[in-house]
Amino acid sequence: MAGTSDIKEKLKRGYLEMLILQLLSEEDMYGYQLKTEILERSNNLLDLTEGVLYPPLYRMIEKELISERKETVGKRRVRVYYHIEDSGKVFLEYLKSEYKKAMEGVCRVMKWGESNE
Amino acid sequence: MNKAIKAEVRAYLRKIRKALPGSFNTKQAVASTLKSQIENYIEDNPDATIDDVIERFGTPETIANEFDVTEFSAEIKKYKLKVLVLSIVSILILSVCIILTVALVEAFNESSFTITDDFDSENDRYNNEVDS
Repeated sequence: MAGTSDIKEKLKRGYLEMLILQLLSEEDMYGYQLKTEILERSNNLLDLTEGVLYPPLYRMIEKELISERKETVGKRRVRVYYHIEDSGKVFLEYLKSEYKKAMEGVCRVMKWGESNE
Repeated sequence: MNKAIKAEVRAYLRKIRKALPGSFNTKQAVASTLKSQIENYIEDNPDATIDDVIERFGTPETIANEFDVTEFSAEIKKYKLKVLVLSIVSILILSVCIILTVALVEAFNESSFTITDDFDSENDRYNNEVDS
C-alpha cells in the first residue's frame, strides 16, 4: 500500500529512543544486542535492522543522554557498548510518561479495548 | 575481509554517508561505527555477501530515514552557508590571481619593448656619431 512504509518509519522514530533507553537502563549493550533484545521482547513484532539503531544512538550521544565505550573483543575486534547517563534516565521517565498518555489517548479515540469492539 | 566484499562495503558506506543528512562529522560518526560493526559481522560470517550485510544493517535510505531532518536543519543551513562562503572566497582568490598574472605579463611585455626601444635609439645615436 502506498505510503505505509513512510508511516511505519514515522511511528518507529517516536518510540525507538524510548526502547533503547529502556534496555540500556537495565544494562550496557552493544548495537546487535539491542536489536536482538528488541526483537525477542517484542515477540518478533519489532524486527529492526541494526543500522537503524545507530542514528538515534548517535543523536542521544550528542545530547549526552548516553555514552559509548569501545571494548576489544578477541584479538582485534572492537565492540561499542552504550551506557545510559543520569540525564538519559530522567529523559526515559519523561518519554514513558508521554508515551503512555499518547497511547491512552489513541486507544480511547480508536475505542480499542472496549468490550463492544 | 576479502577484496571483493571490502570494495562493496566501501561503496555501501559511501552511499550511507551520501544519504545521511547533517554535517561531515555526523556522517563520519555513524559511518565509522557501522564500519566496525560490519567488519565484526563479516569476521563472524566470512561467506557473507553484500546482500547479507544490507539485510543485517539496512539500506542506506532506511538508515538515513532514522535521522529527523528537522533536527538537523540548522546544521544543514550552517553547512550550506559555509560551502557558499568558501566558493565565493575561492572565486575571488582565483580572479585576483588571474588579474595579477595578466598584469605581470603586460608589465613584462612593456619592459621588453622599452629595452628594445632604448637599444634602437642608442644604436641610432651611435651610427649617427660614427657617420659624422
